[in-house]
Parts: sequence; structure tokens; C-alpha cells
Amino acid sequence: MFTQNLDFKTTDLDTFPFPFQSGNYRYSNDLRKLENVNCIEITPEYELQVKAKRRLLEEQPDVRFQALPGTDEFQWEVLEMLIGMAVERYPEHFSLEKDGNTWTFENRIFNEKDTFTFGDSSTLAYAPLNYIGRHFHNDFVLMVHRDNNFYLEVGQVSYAALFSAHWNAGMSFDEIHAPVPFVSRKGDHLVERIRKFLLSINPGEPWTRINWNLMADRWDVNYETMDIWEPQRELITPENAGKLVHLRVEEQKFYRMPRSNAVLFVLNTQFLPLEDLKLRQEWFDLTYSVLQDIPPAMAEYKGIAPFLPQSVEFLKRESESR
Amino acid sequence: MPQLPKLYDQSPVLTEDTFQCTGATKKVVVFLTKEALSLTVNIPTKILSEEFPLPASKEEIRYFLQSQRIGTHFFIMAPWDEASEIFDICMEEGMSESEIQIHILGAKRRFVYCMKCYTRKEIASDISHTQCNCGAHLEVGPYFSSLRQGYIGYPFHPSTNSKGVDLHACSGTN
Repeated sequence: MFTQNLDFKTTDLDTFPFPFQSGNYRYSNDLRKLENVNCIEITPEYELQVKAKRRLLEEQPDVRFQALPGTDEFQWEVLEMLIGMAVERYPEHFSLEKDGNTWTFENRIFNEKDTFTFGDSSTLAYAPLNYIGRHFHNDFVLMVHRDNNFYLEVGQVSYAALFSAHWNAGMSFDEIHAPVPFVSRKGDHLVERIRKFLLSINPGEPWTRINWNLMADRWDVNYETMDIWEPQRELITPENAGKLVHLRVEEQKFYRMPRSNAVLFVLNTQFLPLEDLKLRQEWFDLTYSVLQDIPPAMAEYKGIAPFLPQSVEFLKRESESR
Repeated sequence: MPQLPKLYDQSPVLTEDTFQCTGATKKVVVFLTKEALSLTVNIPTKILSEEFPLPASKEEIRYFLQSQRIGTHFFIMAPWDEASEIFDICMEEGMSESEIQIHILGAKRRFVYCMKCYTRKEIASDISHTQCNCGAHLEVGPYFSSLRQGYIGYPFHPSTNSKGVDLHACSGTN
């Protein structure tokens, strides 16, 4: 059975998407153009993360993957894009042979080779996105564009942060984000602004933003396990926060799919225990500054209120002991 | 295939009052059961109106809806289950929620969706906590899923209750 204890961390700090630019964090429409449009990344933790993700998908298929009927064609388009990116960036790890519609995809890291008929889902063991998603450590969410809004119609989610692919399936962008309470300085609702922005994304010009959270010794926190992780958060103390509390960073990338017109969310989730922030003093200082300045409403929304004071106390003690 | 809206006890199509015309209303079709015959529906005289008596089969309702022109609005006066079924057919036939108003005769129904076992349970309208048949203790959240046809039921550990987490805030990743 998959253990939810967080037993891995990012070891190559150069690939860790550190989220803070200043010592004061507030919500904003922080989308920016993605410089490297290729979302496939092989990190030192690739195998560990992919194996853990596959285990979750096997043990909790209904929790971790959802696809509404009629989305196969959209999923094939995503499969084609991801394979293309993988082969282009890492030809030593991935290859694709095409013989008409007969495709053979090889993942040499896992020593796996699959042959299928492009466009025919019956030739795959899983739905197209559920199949290709098992070769990369990312989460994938496909939001279908309809009536000036986006609807979650396909999702493979193994790193939930107060989220559930099962629950959110079929919902609009606005419904999914209904609880987001934040407004801009001008009084605009943040979710509406971001939705409008996403509507303007063009094919070939992906955008990105970085989301962050804290995790109390958990791989993820979804609604399904709320009764388990909620009390666990009370176990955090200033003494153990350095090891158990992780800065969870979710690098979000948004791609407009040219054929379906849907927007694909590619989420790269990485973790760094608070004690490892000391490896980069600037990161430590920024994180300490941000965390001690989090407004109570934001701490509640992010679900970190029960262990934020202990985390800040750990950082304070470390700072004073320097 | 998109998820179509479902009727729920806080649905914007529900009205306690009589039918409200909008500028887009060209004609009103009133679906009504025998129980509703004694109720008054105030429809401005300049608006064309037509009654559609219930009960009727799904096929009859569907066939009737398919023959209606744009600008036709629908006012349904029926008990919950019947109204819910007509609402579903309206959605399947491409009507939007803004074209439908429903006055429920009798009680509305409310369901909670257990996030532990993925089953639905009917609950009273005024309760905030319940126990699922699977044994999970649930706090009833304010968010409704048309696909799951219920309000979210957040599992919580009974010894800790749900203090410490703002359940109403728990539906996003930002």
C-alpha cells in the first residue's frame, strides 16, 4: 500500500522552481510567458516520482484519473504533444517509431516499449492521457473551452493540494475556484481575471505561473483523505518542522491545444524540506520573511494554519543560531 | 461530452414565486401537474403562453421541447422528482438554465456525496454533519457537483472534528 509519508525531496536545487521573488507574498495574476515550451523534464527523482505516481494510479484509479465520455480525441492530441516533446528533449531516453498509424513508443529509463494504433484507444491499456501520463512525473489536467469558460474533462492528479480530480471532474474553472476569496487591489476577483487571461492563450505560446504551499509530511492532501491528514498536521512542532514540513512548489504550465482548443495544465510538483532551505541562504531568508507575513485568511485557505506557527518558529531558531 | 447541469436545492432555476418574464421571453410553456392547477401563474397578457399537463412520458416531453422556438421559456410546477426529470430533458435538448424556472410542489431534496466511498446519501436541508453508510463522518460543504449530484461531504476524524481547517475554503490548489 502506498505510504503518504513524504519520503523524497528535490536534490538538484538548480531544477527546484523556488517561488518567491520578494519577502512579501500576496496573490496576483502572476502568469508569464513560458520560455522553454517543452514541459518534459527528467530530474534525479524522476524514477521515484513516476513509480509512486503509478502506484497511486493502480491503487486508487477512480481517485487519481478521471475522463468524461467523448474526450478520447482530445487525449490523443495531448499524447502526441507529450511524446513529441519527450523525444525531442531526451532522445537518449525516449523514442517513437511511426508506421502509418501504428506507433511504437519506447521509454528506455523503464525499459518499456508499447505499440498502439494512434487514435484507437482500444489498443492502449489505459485511456490515452492516463497511458502517456504514466511516463512523466507531472500531473495533467485538460480544461475544455466552452461558452467562454473552461471545464475539467480529463485529469490525472497524483499531487493534490486541497483538490480532487474525482470531485472536480465536469466542473467549470469558476466552480473549481469558487472558494478562492482573493480580490486584486482594484477589487477584481482574481479567479475571473485568470480565467479571462487563460481564454486569450494561443497555440504555440504557453504560459506559466508558480504556486506554492507547505506540506506536513504528506505526498498530497486531497479531500478523500482529509480525516487522516487533518489531525496529522497537529503533530508538527518547531523541533520536527525542519524535516517534516516541506515547501511544496507547483510549477503550472498552460498549453492551448491547437485541434481541440482545450487548455492543458501541466503541473510539476517538487518538494524541499524546510531544513534544506539553508543550502541556499537567499531562499531561506525569503521563505522565512514570507511565512511570518502570511495573513490568517491565506493560511486558512492554503490549509497550513495549524502548523504555520511551528514552521516559522523553526525558521526563526535557525536564523538566530547562524 | 460536457457535464450538463443538474437540479439541486440551491439551483438558480428554483423560484418560490411566480414566473418572472425577461426581455428575451417570447412565449411561456407551463408544465404543471394536477396539484398545480389551482395555483395562479401571472404571465403578462402580451406573452404567449401554453400549458403542458403532467404526467407525461419522457418521449412526449422531449418531442414537445424539440418543436419549440427560440425565445420560449419554461415554467415547471411539479414535485421534485418530476421537475428534476423534466429539467434533465430540457438540458439534454439544449435549453439553458436561464430559460427555465421551477416551482417545486412539496419538499426539495438534498444529497451529500461522500468523498470517502463515492456514494450519495440524502440528507435534511438543515444539517451540516452526517455519517455515511461506509462509516465516514462527513461535514457537508457548500459546493455542489452536477456530475456527482450532491454536495461535497468532507471526511473528518470524529475525535478532532474539523476545526483547524477551513472546509469551505477547500476546493482549489492555488
